[in-house]
Amino acid sequence: MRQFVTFRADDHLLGIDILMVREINRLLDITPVQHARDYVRGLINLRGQTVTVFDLGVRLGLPPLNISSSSHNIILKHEDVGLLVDSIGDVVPVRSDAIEQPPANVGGIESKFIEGVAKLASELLVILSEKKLLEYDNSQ
Amino acid sequence: MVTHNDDGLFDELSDEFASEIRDLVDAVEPDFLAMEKNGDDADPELINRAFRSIHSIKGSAGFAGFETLKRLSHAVENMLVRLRDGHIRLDPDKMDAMLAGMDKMRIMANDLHASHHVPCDDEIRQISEVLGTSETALRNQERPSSDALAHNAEGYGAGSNDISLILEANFGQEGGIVSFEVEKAQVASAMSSAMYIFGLWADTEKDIKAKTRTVEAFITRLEESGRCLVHKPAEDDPPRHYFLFGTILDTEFLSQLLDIPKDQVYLFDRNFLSKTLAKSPSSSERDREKTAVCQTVAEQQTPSENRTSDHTAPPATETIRVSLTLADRLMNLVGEMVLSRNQLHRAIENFIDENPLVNPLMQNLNVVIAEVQENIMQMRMQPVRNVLNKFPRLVRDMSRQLSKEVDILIEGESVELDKSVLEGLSDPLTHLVRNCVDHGIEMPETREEMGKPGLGKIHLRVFHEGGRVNITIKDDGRGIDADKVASEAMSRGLISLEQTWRMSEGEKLNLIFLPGLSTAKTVTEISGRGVGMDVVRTNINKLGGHVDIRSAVGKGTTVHVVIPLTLAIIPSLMVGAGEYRFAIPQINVQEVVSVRAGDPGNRLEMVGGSEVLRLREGLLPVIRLAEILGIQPTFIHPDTGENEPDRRQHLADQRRRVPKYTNDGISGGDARGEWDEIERRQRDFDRRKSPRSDIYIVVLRAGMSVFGLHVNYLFDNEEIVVKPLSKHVKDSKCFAGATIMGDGRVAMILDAAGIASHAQLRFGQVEAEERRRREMRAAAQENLKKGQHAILVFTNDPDEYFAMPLAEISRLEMTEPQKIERVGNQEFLSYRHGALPLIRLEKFLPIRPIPEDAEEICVIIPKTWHSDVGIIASRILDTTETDACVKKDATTVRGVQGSAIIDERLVLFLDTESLITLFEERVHAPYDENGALA
Repeated sequence: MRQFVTFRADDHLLGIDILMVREINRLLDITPVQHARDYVRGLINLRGQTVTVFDLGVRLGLPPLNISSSSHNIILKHEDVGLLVDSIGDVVPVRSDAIEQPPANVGGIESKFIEGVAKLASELLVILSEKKLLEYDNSQ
Repeated sequence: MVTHNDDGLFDELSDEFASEIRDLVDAVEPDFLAMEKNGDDADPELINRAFRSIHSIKGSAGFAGFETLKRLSHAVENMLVRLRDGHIRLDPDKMDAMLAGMDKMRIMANDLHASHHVPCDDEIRQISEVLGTSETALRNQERPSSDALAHNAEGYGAGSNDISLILEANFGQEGGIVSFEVEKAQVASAMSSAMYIFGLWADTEKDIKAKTRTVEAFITRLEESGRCLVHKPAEDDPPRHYFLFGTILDTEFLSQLLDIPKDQVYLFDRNFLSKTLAKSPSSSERDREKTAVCQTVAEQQTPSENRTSDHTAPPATETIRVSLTLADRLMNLVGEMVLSRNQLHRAIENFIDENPLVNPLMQNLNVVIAEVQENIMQMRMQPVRNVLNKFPRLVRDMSRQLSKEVDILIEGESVELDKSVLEGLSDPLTHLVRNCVDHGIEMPETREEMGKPGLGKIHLRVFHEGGRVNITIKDDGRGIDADKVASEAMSRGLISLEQTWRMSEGEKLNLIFLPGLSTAKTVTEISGRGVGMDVVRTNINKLGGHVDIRSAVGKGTTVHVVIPLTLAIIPSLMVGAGEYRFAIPQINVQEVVSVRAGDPGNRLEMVGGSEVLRLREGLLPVIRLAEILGIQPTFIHPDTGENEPDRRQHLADQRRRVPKYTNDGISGGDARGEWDEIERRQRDFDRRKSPRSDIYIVVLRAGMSVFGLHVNYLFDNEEIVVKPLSKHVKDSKCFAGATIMGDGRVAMILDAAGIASHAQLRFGQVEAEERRRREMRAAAQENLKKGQHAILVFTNDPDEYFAMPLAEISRLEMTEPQKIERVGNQEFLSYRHGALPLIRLEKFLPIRPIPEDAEEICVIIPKTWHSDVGIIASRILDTTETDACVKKDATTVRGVQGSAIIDERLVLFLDTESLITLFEERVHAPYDENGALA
């Protein structure tokens, strides 16, 4: 049984393994970094540490997200990186064998970021790969 | 002996041991060099000190079981013994051998566990060869028989003093009291070597035979770790050997080393000994001395545990070794503390005003935090000596290799620098010093031919200036020929021929830092410098510093390096672009130029499509921060006080006069098309005159290039803590890092070099223009000498051209027609706190008037010796050189010298003097309503 933090970006229900998450916050005073990769929304101050925030929309190949009253940052554990998401959902337990291989294309999300999908009661949960999200492509 | 079973402990010990050896080796080297320099006059203390250091290495190596190291240090020690005793004289070969030995020791210290495998036989052989003896022979000599020991001990102690001293050691119940008779000089010498004097005894049966060793071996072990002053075999029951022994070890170590119980070792109190020694050494006092000694012994009947801790601790060094990561973490935390204080201060700012009690508390907090910060910074600070120490050796070795005579003088080695800066500085400085010896200083014969002393000098000076550390490395060698560097750079295609023409001497010299040039051997030969100079510059730039080079052919070269004190907290200038704040490290900031709201046209221009700032004699390319970062620029509207978007296309658009008309297309161009629209807007509201809309240009220095960075706002100077950037934002070359400001927001730190390269600044173009103007000025002066004269061409009606010699003009003033005031028929301009009467040319000369709709006019103020007047012109066209012949003809009226054709235009030359006379006549003439000529 694995537990996933669920959240929404551009109306997709997405999830990431809870073990990869350090914290979730609403530090939305994001200082942009000009000329950085397009998916970098900017930097925030997390108790004296700078954390790079990704616009999860752009990162996944979706339109950029707008900051609203429900926006949150999901701070990842292994690098000082946060993911900006539209809203936060529940923590959902999923049995490992219920995670299926991702279909070729899930609503415009670049497939390389998808670790798998899980069918929840009402919706399809797209499980994201932390490793792929953090991957830095030098060739660009 | 340390047991090798406990690896952890052993590693820890050997780590400490290794750094101790490194320190000792480092300490010895300068002494060696000083010994060599002073030759026979060398201070015996130098040899003694070196000897002590080597001895400590040997002792520790033997103790920890590093045999190879022990053998090597033993060999060096032998050499020193013979030197000290005057058996041999020091010459460069011997010094080479010893230094080679020291180098090997350093290598061994770097990896102690592998030190067994470091081959050092060569070094030992080298030493033995110069000593003219084999190592074994030396060893035997070092192992005197026990009978000869007392005699041998006399070899220590430099002065001869017959007066001896009786010392009594109390070994407690088992050992009783034993007295030693010893020469005072021996004790004094041992004590001056920071040794402790011990009395000790060993039971022949229990301590020696039972531990399968011989008396000789025991004595050898003693000799290896100190000086045996007295050896007294006693035929007591059981037979014992008594020793009076000087060593730097403490009781604990000594008993371990010799493998004898601690109560067989007695430490003499140093204070007592030195007092006793200081007493006048007359033999009549001997008895008294003896009683004094006994007394003290009696006094020392304190529990031995206490005594050990009180007296046997090695001289307390006032330092501790702290791991760098700990220091770094502390540094980070202090940075956070500073930020929290700022945040707290901001949060309770209003509260502070209302509560007078809070203010002192806040101030106290500020002081404490500032001090903590400073002290922690200092913790990371190390004297630059640590880097400079190796240079005398480097210079010595190199000059010997190259058969040159070079001396290095180092000044300011106690200046302290952050450890990380210091580490980064080592390589470039080494390179620079090496270059001095290798390429800078000539061969002695060459130097003498040139009338210079054969001994070349390198002067390395470190000093604080302006919150930065300055390092100058100066040699009196052959210098660098700037032109040769330039032509070399040109032949390599690094610069164009045209560029070389425009370059100043200094610029040409600095070409030596170009990467392509540095490895060029040919340049090395012709210029004297230039190996890896680009690496030097890159390294120094990495530290946030810069490097500059000056040279005079035949006289020498000076390299000037400027670096910041620390990398972790950097003083920065906070600036704003749009709604964001940025930090610019102070080290990059040369100056801040504020261009008055009314005056941008005088300072800002367009050159070949890019904006430039006219700063003193030079032109600086200007980059707009907001533009380069793609931020919507804003300004604070003077009426609403709110941020509003700024739509100016160019900074120079604020100019308040018609773009200068020129034939070469310097200015105008694209800026001109928008002129009308802007001018209209300007009339609509005068916001641009508000001081708030002054233009701020931060003059930045990045490597060799200097440029202006236009920012929307200037804020305070702040000390910021640099936070590294994650790899995802590293792409952004404009930023060097991030920081957290007092309000908790993140601000980016600008990287001057990155911005310059991102903007692809057209330095070349601007430089060309600068050079062109400089040449024009020079030519103008030249022409003046030749009889040609410079003239100012202007218009009144746009199609009629007038000229005045530049030499007759004192000033030009731009103004608006509305600003001209009238008193009766006379017009005045408010000028330098007074009213300047104006001459309207059409009133005096038969010419067409200035167009009514002129939006800006120019007032020419001629140099006159009687009265100040101004001549109104509609536009200044140009200044030019002419030798055209000014002709008078029938149409020439009073106030005009004549006319000439310049650039295919008819130009009337004004006669300033007669014009002013006309004007004066007119002022004093009876009132004429029409204002026409009388």
